[in-house]
Amino acid sequence: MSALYNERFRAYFIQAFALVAVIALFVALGHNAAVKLEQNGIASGFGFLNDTAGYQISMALIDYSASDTHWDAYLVGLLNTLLIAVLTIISATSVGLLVALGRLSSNWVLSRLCYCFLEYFRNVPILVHLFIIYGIVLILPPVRKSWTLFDSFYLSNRGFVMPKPGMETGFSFVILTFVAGIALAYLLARRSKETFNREGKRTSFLSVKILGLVLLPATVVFFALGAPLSWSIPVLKGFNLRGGLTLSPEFCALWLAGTIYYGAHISEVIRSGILAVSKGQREASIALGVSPIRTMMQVILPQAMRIIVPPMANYYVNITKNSALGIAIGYPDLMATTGGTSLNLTGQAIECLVMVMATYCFFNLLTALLMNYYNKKVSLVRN
Amino acid sequence: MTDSVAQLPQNVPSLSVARPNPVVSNGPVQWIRENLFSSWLNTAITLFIFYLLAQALPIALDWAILSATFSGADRDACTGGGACWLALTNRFSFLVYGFYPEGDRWRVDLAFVLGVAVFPLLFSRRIPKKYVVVYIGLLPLALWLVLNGGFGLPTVESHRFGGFMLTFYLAAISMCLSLPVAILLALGRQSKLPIIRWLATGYIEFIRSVPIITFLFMASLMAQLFLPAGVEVDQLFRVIAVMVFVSAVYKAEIIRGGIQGIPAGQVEAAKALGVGYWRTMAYIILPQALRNTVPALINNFIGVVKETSLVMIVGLLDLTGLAMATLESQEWVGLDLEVFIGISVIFFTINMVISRYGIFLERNIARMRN
Repeated sequence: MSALYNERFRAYFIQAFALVAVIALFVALGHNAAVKLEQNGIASGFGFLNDTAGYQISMALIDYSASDTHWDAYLVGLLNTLLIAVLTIISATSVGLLVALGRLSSNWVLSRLCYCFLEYFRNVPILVHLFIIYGIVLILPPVRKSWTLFDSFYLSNRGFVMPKPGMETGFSFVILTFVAGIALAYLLARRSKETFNREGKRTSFLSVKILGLVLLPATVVFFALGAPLSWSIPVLKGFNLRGGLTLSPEFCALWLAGTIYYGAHISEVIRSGILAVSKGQREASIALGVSPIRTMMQVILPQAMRIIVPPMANYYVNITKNSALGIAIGYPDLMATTGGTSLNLTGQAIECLVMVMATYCFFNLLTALLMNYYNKKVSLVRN
Repeated sequence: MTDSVAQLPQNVPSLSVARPNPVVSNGPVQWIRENLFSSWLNTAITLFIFYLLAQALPIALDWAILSATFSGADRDACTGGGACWLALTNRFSFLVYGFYPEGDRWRVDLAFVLGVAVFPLLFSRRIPKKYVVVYIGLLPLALWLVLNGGFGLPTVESHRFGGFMLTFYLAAISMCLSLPVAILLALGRQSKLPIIRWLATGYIEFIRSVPIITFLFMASLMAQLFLPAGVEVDQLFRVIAVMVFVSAVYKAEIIRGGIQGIPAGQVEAAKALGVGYWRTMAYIILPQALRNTVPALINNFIGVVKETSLVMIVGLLDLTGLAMATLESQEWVGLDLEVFIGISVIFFTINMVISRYGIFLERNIARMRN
């Protein structure tokens, strides 16, 4: 009896109990599932991934047809999820930064306008934004009467069509020059920063590096190889547009909705980060004659980043997760291919959802790792 | 010291000579100059925004109000060329009450009152906080009794729930029920017992990294797979369970922040006085931590209200789902823009009011502390 009042014994007991309870729960669920699967004659396992998928996917970044396997369908969905996530992260961050700066502007009209947009966009569910934008797309003119810019960009109720670059042989050399230029510029920037920290002398300038090391060589190589880039320009033929790169209405709606919704949230994160930097920093910088823009870029923002980054990482994870919303309007992301059509066709519900969940977990962990690394790098070193 | 004063040079201008006051004017002209036209860039921005507004506002106003149709028997009445709001105005009570029996709609109204009453209770200083906690704890039960029936009230099947009423029901119930789960998770994540800590952390991180839609799909399509044979659970319950166990994770992180904000000395003092773990938490740590996190929890509630819209994807007819169903009917097909702008205004108003309330409460808490 006295063992119950022994703190160490109680700690072991509680933990053992919790562990057993969780394991028992999983065993019970697994047992039920196994029984039901056997009744329905569904063999478990990931063998179905090698079977023919047999369904079309409206948007695929890699070659895909209905005769490909479920694994290919998974890859198509994964790439679509990543595409919309990366694009939304970039655009939402840009919009967020602009709106935050607008909110902080001394211009009253601008700051009020930003405030109104912000409050509207973040207080309405993203799903409703999605439907509103989709509703707007649907009342756009039909393809034949689509709005056009320079006869190469077309906007209609079938989506947005623009010229599509096609790489020909030799273009990889241009890319190689470009990447090498960036790497060289980066190394030079590090060295010149060290010199600057040691001697206080500026030895190279960013604009010079971008022009001289990145843009110029790439352009020279590009033209030396005879401009190995062809543009497929959309042409109106009959009732449809031929050629070009089509962004489907679903893709545009999902991208735009994510941009405004998360842009509004991110702008608040950035704004509170900027406001958290002590006022004296800005005043001191201005008093030293540093221009307002450089004050913002080199004094305020680097310090604000420490506060901004952790919540921002959270929003990036949320953006990645939210591509799953595409299922409401038919954007073929991971949740719609593997977690939707493949699941319905094969009946392998558990396997499909495990794959979807594991993929999302993987990206979440990746973000968490990157964030920890960044946090360690930028956190204040206290001596 | 006196010497140095005496040696002051005589040609220093005397400080006592009155200089003219700096020109300070704070009339409207000065305000406009400072806030709108302080530099050439500001002037350009101001003029550009005014130009855009002058272009866009008349069109928007004309579409939404001046040429819009607000009343009429059916869609043929929409002849103004502007927005056709009839899909909302003619079906307003349907959007609010869903398929709830006409004669029993007072029960929905009563439920609204019961739910909204939480807000003044949270603010009131005269009512002891433990009653507020009891009220929030009993609210799901009360809503269940009023809306589903029982104790003499006729039963209303859950598939008749719909519209704003369902949105409210989902948000209120999942908010109240997820709080205790969130508290347990937050305590678990802070626990000294490693297995408890790992379980809580693993659960939180797993749920956080997977879209809620995945869980909603699991609940609506696969629940039968995991339940023992013969057991069936209503779809509404399954969806509520998902919302409770998912939103608890986000609340757990908020509450954990609140607990970490309490000085460690309080726990140590309680331990030194021989107060046990649960009593320390229940009477010393959590009351303070929860009070400090009320504004953040209200923000989280806004998120929950927005998240309820996702249940339409698994076929429940909440406000958004009902709007979608409206658009599928022959009569209102094609009015997507009007209907969803109307829905967005409803969500905006509700969430704006809640967030203003959160800010108000936050200031109040800050004032109480000083």
